[in-house]
Amino acid sequence: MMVKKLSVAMTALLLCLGLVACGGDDDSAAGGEGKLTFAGWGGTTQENIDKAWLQPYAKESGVAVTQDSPVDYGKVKQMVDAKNVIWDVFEAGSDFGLDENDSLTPMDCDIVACGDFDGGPIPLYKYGVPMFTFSVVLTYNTDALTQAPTSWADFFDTKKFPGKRAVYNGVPGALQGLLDTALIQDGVDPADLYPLDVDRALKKLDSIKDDIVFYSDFGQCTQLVGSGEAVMGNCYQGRDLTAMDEGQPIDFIWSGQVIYADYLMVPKGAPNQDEAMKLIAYITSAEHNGDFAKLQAYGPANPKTELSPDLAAKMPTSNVMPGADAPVIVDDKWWNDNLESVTQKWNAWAS
Amino acid sequence: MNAGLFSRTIAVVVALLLAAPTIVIAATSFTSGVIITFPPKGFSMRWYEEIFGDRAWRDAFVTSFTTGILAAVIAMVIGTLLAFMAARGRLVPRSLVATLAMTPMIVPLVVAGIGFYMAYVHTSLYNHITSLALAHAMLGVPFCFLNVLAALTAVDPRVEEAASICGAGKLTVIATVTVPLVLPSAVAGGLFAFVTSWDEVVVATLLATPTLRTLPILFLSQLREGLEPSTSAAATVITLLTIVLLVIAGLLSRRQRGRST
Amino acid sequence: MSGRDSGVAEVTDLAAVGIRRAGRPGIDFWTLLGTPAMLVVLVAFGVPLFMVVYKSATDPGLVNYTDVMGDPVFRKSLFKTIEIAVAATLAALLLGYPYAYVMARSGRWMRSFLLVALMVSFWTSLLIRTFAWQVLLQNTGVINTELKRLGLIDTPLPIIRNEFAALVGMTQMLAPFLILAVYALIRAIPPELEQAAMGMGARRSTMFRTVVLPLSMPGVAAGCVLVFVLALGFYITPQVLGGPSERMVGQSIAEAVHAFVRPGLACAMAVILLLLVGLVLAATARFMRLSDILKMGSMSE
Repeated sequence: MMVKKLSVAMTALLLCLGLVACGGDDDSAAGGEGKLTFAGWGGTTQENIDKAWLQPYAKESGVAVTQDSPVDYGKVKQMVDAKNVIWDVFEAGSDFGLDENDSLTPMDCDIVACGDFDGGPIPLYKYGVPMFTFSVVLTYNTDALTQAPTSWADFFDTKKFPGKRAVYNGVPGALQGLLDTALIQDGVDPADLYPLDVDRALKKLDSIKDDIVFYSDFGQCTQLVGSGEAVMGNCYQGRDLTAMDEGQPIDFIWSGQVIYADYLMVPKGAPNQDEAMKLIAYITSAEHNGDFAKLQAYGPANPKTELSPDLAAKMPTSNVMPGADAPVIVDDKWWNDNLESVTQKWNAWAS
Repeated sequence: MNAGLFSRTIAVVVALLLAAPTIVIAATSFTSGVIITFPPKGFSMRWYEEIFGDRAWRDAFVTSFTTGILAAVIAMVIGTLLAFMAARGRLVPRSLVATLAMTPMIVPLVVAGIGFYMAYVHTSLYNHITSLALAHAMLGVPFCFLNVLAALTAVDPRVEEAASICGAGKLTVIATVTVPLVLPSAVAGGLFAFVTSWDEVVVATLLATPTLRTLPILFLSQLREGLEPSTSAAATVITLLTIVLLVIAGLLSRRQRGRST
Repeated sequence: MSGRDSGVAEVTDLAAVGIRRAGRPGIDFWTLLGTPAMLVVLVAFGVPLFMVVYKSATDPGLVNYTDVMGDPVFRKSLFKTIEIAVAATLAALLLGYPYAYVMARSGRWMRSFLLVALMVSFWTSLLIRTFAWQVLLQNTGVINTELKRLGLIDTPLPIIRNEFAALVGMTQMLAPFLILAVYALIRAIPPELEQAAMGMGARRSTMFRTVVLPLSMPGVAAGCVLVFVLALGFYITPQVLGGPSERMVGQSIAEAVHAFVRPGLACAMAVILLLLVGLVLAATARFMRLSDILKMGSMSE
């Protein structure tokens, strides 16, 4: 009996397919002078990238921009190896080979204003131009804590600040900064951090291990702290600001922030390389690099970009504190060379 | 013969556990707040308005549905043919046919996913819906194969013999006797294949391209960001829609049966 | 892999029953029809699978295997994967069997209720259900908040970010497969058999042990193998609901692909996971007729 019902159910579904499939292909991408595909990490950030840069650029240049997400380094490599590349520009962290990488096309400094980045806080690499900066900051729940923490020392002080700490345990690249911070709190001079003493950093983290709540995606951090599931966490400042706007009981400190940048890269053999470089030039130009900051608190990476004072107040690079509160500077090259071994040690420690 | 009180109690508790996540999601979709809390804050339909106005959800729905149906149809055809070959073919050893048809069921998704990606990226299927439909169809083949094989074992060969004795040609026998006998099983297998595809995220993420984004891919990216009430709303709509489709199908089948008897 | 072969032999027996013995010799019609289907599967599934095995040994070389097995985290996750899969299977069986039995042996109202609960859950996305469990189980989640409000607990129960949470989620997602497999078989047992047994004075428990249980064993076996094999490949749900200790092999594989860009390493892990599945099936085939298991994978009747 059941079978008979199912068979008719299936037929009905098939009929629906006909309807949906016919109704589905009503519109194709508007044909312009050129086209290109941008891939980002997805989510709200990519929606804002679209609003701040991709749509205005498409309007201005007549180029049709399609989007994809999420970025996946393994996919980039496979596409390039198979010579079947469908991305022209993609967003990546500093953990995807910036100075040497067989899968990427070098930046064309005739099109991109590479000179703008000389001496800036975020370096430009052979295969990537930084698009925006953001930072990981000590975030805390304002309801759960009677006094506000003032530095990362308080993060490791479970007596004075009892409660759970949200700590990232997702993709390996994002461990950058946490180990650095642990070492600084263990007494290492920030100038002598590298090469990192991973074992010592993990030992320091051992002291709070019982109070750690691991999360696997940065979006969860703000949720964990905002809901009071954890009292502190190492969250993205941009998400914190959004949550604060929504009225969640959250605040954060700039002391010891870890500043990151996301980069724009072009896979080797991208179908529209020239268009790709032009889009990168547009996004990273002094004129447009700050457009994103109006939508989301991620700062411009181009040091020549100027922001209005109230926007600048939210950006990592305008909140650099002196002395012991200074931002943690991560050595990208060391991390790229040691990512696998560090991750192995970390996973062994965490699990 | 009814089940005892003890097992009935367990069953009811398990039923609540099974339905609990769906209930939570449905409830949170009506919140008027911007984050997911349970019980929800206030009542509003704002998240439903948001998803119906959002192209990404609509496109993903169409992509998921098309992929699922294509995968189910391909799986039904291949699974059925292989089942007949295993049961009645004489040239190829049956064990070989059965191994081939069953392997996709026992290969963990993440393993199959890597393979599909590494192989398909070299072909022109890549970046086209057929790549995902074909991959999903492979995952559905074992269901169809098993179902049809089971039905074939139940078919009394004498029915077909009777038909041919009565003068029907071989093709006529197949079309009028054999196919109707196994069709329901093939369709049931196809339904499983559809569900497999509809809810599959590991292979889909690997094969995803700008034009090929299914609902689970959207769900996963939302899950990584922290879900919003709009995701709850989308999930609720999709669950409801699926169930409504099945109920309509069930009613149609009842009416059809009513006519035939 | 010999186990899989013997398993296949069982399927063959099943197939043999369906053979049309009176078939005329001559052109083999069904082989002719089936060959293209076979080729499609070989190309669309066989080639990808072959590439996984090939890459694991050549990209850059067999060193992948020594690397993988030398990694204590991977070895640990391998055992954890097996442990969680076994536990999830047992839980699915303990909760699913009574469910299937009641669904097959009760009045219309009860049956509809159980069927609706099953289907509602079955048709809700796995990812969404994972998230819902998070909402239910976390310290500030529904369960803990309510218990606290009722004054039953002071500190939140530890029901998130541990093996318990991972198991709750996985069991809820996998139990329906087992329920369907068992239900199909119990439905096929004539209720009169049970009535007869009890009419002749058997107690309910005796009747169950001697009539229902043996007749439904194939469904139990089918469901368990299905659940176990599916569980081995799970990783998103345990990652979200479990803690860092609930690390499954699938997660390591995904990481090796996405983050390290070492497909060879990922493929070596994949082959090891595949061998594990093969072992399970081989062991199962020793104890029961695989044909029965596979037959029950279907929902028909």
